[in-house]
Amino acid sequence: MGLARYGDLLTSAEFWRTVEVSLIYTAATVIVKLLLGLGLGVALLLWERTRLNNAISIALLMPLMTAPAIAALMWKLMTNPGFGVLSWLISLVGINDFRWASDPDSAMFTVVLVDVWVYTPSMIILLLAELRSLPPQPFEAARLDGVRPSFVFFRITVPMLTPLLLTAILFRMIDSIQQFDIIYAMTQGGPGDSLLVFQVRAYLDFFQYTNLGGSAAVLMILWALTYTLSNVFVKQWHKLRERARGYV
Amino acid sequence: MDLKEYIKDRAKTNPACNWDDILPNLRASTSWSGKPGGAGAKQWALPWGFEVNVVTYNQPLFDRMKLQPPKNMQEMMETGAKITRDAGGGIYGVGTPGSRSWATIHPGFLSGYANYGAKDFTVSGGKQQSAVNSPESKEFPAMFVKMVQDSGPKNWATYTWYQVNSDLGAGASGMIYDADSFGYFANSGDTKMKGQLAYAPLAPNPAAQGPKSNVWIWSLAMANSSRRKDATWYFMQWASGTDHLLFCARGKDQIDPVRASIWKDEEFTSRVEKNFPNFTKTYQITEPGAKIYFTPQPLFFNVTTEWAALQQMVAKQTPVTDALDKLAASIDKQIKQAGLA
Repeated sequence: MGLARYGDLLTSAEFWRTVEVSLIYTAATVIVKLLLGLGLGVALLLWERTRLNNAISIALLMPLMTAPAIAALMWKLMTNPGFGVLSWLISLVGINDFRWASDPDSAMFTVVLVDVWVYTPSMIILLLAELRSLPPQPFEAARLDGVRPSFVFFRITVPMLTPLLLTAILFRMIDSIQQFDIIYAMTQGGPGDSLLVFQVRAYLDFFQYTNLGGSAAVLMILWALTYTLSNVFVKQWHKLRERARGYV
Repeated sequence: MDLKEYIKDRAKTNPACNWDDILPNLRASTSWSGKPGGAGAKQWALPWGFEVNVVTYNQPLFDRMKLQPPKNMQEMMETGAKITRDAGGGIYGVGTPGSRSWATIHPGFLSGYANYGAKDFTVSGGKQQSAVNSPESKEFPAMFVKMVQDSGPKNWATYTWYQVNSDLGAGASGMIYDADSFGYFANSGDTKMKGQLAYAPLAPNPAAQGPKSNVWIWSLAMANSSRRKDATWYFMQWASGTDHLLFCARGKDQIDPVRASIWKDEEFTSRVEKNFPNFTKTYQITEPGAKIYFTPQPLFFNVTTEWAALQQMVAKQTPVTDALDKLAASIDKQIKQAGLA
């Protein structure tokens, strides 16, 4: 018992499979949400404020109002190979018999898709708020000098956004590595062990196998991992803040 | 707590409770010594309701395709595959759950597994060892996996028991090998297939003398820490007693009474048979071999959930034989860690 439990865990192939699956899920969801959030945030900033654009903005935020577990069940219906609307849509472009979360090869893709759908709006809101609060002078100066838009984006916008980007990445990373509801509602961790992420494994250990010690050990390791990653990000964030204030 | 002391206590137990009237297999299935494989030592619960696993099929579809309900596994595989191939309209052959859960194992799968003489464990001297990869344990899973591949729902790996039920009621599946209550409620509720489903017993192994059905039992149990044990016992007697269960069977759709006397009640059987032809006959053929076929042992949820290794076999990620060998090794490892080996 005690430390021996951690020893058992760290030497088990099943646990390392959990680590692998959790990290892949976290990396995939965070990267996609970041790129989409940034792209859509910039697009919303540049769009003129018409009624149509306002409606689109509101529609983009709709997933935020859906509980992740409900969203997962909704997607489960939409991806049903028999009658799901998404299965029908992809069949129109010649993709037949795609089994979404029921196939070990496409299960990760499917839950990442749902996660992105649910959480990208929060990334958009965060980035859009920061984009709108950036000082206009550097952008006006660049425009007067005839600087290319791509140069403005990568050399002015992104560096000014970086502290907030780090914060957003940190939040989304913590959420993703602790993901439970979407994955459990859609697949219960399957097919096989293809989606047995930290929280799902801990839940099954605790509530189905009554293995309280095993579950606690998994969660302690998850906490240590989250704590370490958070520290790395927070330190980077402080460095960037100091640099922005001219201390470095 | 062990209910035997109450069952035997004439001062606290009404004769109408009539313990011997409860089907013997259900009494045995709710008793356990607490040791792996041990049986009969303590009575943990009073059976209240149960369900057996049978074939429920879409009668109009079978008529249209000139199909007969399957009598064994080979026939079910062939009939299911034919439905998937030829029925059209997205109808598939056999609805059976497949999500990563013990609920995937306990209905049709374990019933067929037991019918082929396979066991989940061998227990000797109180020590248990996995038997899921014994030669007789490999025959049925291989057929089951093939059946799901050829005629199961496309989303089988995330398919739950309520989808089995709803697809049957919606006419999306040709048949199911699952709880008889699924068919009953799909046949009587607000469903597309209302009144058009039919029942048939299934003995997957053609060499078997009859069906073997793993059962689900709803039961009443009492906590040892209860401070009102006598009052609890009076309630349990009432709830599982003949009068109450007869009332439920005659008028409240409790279709699988746990008491032998109720199955002889003309009002109940004629009502069920009138609305659901062949239901009682199917039950009568299935009931003698209906009991819990899992070996009683403390790692029930671990073992049955891990049995969802079937998912990897259906997805053709792992050959059946290799997957069952791996499963047996994993179960034995857990048994050893739990000090049961």
